[in-house]
Amino acid sequence: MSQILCPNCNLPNPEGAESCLFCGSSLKPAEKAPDAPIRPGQQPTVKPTSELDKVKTPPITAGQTPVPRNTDELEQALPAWLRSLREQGELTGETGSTEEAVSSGGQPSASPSAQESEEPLDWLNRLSQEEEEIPDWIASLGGAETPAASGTSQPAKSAGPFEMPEMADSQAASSQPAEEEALPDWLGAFAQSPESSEDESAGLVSQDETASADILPDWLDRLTPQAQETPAPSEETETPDWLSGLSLGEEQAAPQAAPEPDWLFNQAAEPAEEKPESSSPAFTETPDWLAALEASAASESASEEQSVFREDLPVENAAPLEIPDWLTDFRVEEPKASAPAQAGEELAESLPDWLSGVQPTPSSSAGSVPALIGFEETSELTEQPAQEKADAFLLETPDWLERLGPEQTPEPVSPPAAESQGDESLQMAELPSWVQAMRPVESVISETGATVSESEGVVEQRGPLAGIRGVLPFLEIVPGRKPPAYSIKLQVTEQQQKYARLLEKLIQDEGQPKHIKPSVQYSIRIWRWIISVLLIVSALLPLVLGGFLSPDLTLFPSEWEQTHVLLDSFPENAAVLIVFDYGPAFFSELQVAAAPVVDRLLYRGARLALISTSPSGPALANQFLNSTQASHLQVGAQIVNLGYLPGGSSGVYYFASAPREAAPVAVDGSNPWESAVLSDVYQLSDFDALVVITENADTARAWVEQTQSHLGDTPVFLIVSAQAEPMVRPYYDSGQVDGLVTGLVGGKTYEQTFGTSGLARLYWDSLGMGVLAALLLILVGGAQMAILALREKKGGNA
Amino acid sequence: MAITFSWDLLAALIGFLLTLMILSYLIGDNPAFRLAIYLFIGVSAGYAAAVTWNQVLLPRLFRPLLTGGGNYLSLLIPLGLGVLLLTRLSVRFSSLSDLPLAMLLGVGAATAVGGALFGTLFPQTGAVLNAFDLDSADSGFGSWISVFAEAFLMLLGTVSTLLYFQFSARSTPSGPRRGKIVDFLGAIGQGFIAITFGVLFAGVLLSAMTALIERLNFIVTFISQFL
Repeated sequence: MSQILCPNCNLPNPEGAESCLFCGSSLKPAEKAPDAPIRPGQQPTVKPTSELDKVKTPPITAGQTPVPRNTDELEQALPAWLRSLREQGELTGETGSTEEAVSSGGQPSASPSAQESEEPLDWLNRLSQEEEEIPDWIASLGGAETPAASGTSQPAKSAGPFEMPEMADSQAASSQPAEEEALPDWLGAFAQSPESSEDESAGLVSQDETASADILPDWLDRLTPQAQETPAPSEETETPDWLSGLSLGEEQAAPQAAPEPDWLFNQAAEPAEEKPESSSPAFTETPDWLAALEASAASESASEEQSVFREDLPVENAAPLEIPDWLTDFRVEEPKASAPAQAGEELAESLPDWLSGVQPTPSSSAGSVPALIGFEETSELTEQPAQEKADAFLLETPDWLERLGPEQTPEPVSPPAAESQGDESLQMAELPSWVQAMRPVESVISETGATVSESEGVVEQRGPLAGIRGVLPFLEIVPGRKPPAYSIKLQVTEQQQKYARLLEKLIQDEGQPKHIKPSVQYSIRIWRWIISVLLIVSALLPLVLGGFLSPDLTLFPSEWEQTHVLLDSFPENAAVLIVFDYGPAFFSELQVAAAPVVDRLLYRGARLALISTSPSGPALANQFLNSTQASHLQVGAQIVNLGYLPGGSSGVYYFASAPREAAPVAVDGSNPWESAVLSDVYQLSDFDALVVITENADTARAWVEQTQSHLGDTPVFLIVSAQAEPMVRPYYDSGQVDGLVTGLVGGKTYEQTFGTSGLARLYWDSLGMGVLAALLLILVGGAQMAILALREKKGGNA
Repeated sequence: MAITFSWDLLAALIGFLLTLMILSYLIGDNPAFRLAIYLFIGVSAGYAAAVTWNQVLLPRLFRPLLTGGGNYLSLLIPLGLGVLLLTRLSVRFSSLSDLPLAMLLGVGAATAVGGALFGTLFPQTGAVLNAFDLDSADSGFGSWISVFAEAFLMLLGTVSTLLYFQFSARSTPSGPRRGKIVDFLGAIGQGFIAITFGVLFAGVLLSAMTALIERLNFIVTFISQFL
């Protein structure tokens, strides 16, 4: 039968089909010749890509009301499968099953010609329409539609695979009453079985299709029921002979037998020959194919059977069955004393051509397991009784197979016997124990043997399906091997634990505060009190006791001589500028230091002009004169206070450059430059001496720096505190300062030089005692710290 | 002994009390000491403000402007700059005080730099050079050695002290290190610096002792008046 391959899905379709049975695409060649490929330089031609373009009506726009039109011309725009659906829907609407037909997804049209043109989705549905013979049992499995019942319904109910159950139901329902009388119970039950089972059966025996004969393979075509050719009359299903024999009632008309394939013929012939060999008298009335099954079931070639087939199952009813020829070949032959090879040869002869090509692999060596167990004669398989094998793998066997009772099965050949028979081509292999353990067949059969029930299926004993009957056996591929159980605990070695403990200890030690050895803490306040008491006592005792405890100075400072000489070289009534730039805290020291000098100047009749760059300077100057020079001081005649000079260094420079402008007014508000003291002084160099009294080295430096260029030959005297003397001495050593008097020592020196007695002599003893006490304290403290440092050093070294 | 009241006695009494309050710091910080300190600061600030007004602003700025004496128009410039300086207190107008501040800073810097150069650096450098003048020494090798040694010692102390404050160093595998000569002279300068600090400490000690002695003498004198 010629076929046409669908260009879309590449499935075979009958020659005369216009559209594909599976995908619905058109099988007709294109009407137009394929367009020539466009060449460079050519302009592509615009072609309509939509079938709707063929319709020469403008599309509706917004706002327009649609105009009813004749949509017949649009039918052409519809795809073929959709058209078929619509037609079928119209047809099925008459019968009341339009929805089913439409929902089925496109069914062929009602008429045979329409059916031919419309491709049903289920190619199996065409089986029912084939004129070729199909086995009766297959046809009967489809529901055994009566020709009358199915004729009216087939066209409308040609269904695809999704609708087979329904159609099968309808078909089965229509033909069920008749079939029930003709078919045996099991087959009737099979026909009335749930939809799931009927799906397959309906699919096999669907009788709607007419053009499916060309599509099916040859071997299957012959199997299709004869009723597929014509709806009504051709739907007569013919039960096979063997099946009709099983039926209680009348047999149906045997379908026109389809030409069977060769292998099926051969099988039919051979079992016919072997029929006499079947020992069981109960099978005299059985069909040839079934008889062959019985004979082969008893042979040692039980391994030739596929495990799913139970050829040696007992049959409850000993009713003879007509076994088809092709099935006869699969029957287990009777056990023979002949070598298993002979049985195998016999079985091989009964095998179909396509099956006969499968040659059993000879066992190469002892211990090796052939790959294809089902067709090899192995000692392990032959050990198993055929009954056990069949019980293990057949879930729900039909009654006709069950009637192949165990008494008809040949006795299994024991392995030693099998081995002793000495097959020339096949040697019984000695499998190692671990291989034997891996063999599923043996383990399953041995385990399920106790639970096999002759009337029931296999009841699983192990695994998740334990207790369920009729399931595939639990195959322990690797019995005894369980996956290794890994503990969730962290596997730590002893050494690692040791290191972990060490690390944990180190971390804990860091978190714990270190114990600090308490050290002796001496209160600073106590030491302060002690030192203060010592110093106060040392300074107070001479004041309280009175008298002179310390001798006079015998070693004078180095600057004493020059200063002394210079002070005595001033002329009488000399104009001296004295600068009081010290704070109240140093009043006592500078008072002691400056008193002899100022007293000497006043003694020589000098005119003093007082000035200060500090706001408190003028007040301190007055205090100084009132406290030290009160005896012979004549304010106003010899002394004028110029007051406060603002600006710091800039003010000093301003005064040095223009003293009358820098200090125009005296402290009392009068004009000092018109007084007798400063009447002849117009610039700084007109002064006969410049005396700077300060406790700050910066102030002294500023006066020295800013007035140096304006003084000329005017000498400069610095009366400074003891703390500023180190910083000011370089100016004396460099010659920038002509005289230097330092603190209490300088005052004492000049008092002693000038033969006067003043505060310097009063403070001299206290100063001595105090300095001595301080010296002792420094020495004792230093010694103590040195000893402690040595001790710590020794302790550290130790 | 009869005690006559006088302002001097009152002043002495106040002084005596304030002195005791300051000396109470020996037992630690206490309110009396703080009171004395606050009084000293306040009185000093008030006296300074009074002096500034009485001796600077009034006689030198406002009185000439008000009386019109002299070249008073030129006084408007310092008056304006002073007012601009007061705008420093306002956040909104503080930018106006930048001019007088700039003048103050500029003039002060110039005065300081000029004085430092011509008043300290050059004369001091010359003095160091003159120290090696052997002609100034008395005749005799001994005096020359003495003069030279003194000058060399002074020069050594000056240079070593300056090198002590040189912290530039070269990178070495063991870390940054100065040169050996610089390191040696720096160590000598460190000694001179230590001696200088000791001298300074001695001077401070003498000043402090003198102040203590004077105060103790005051206390004794005051107390003796009542005894």
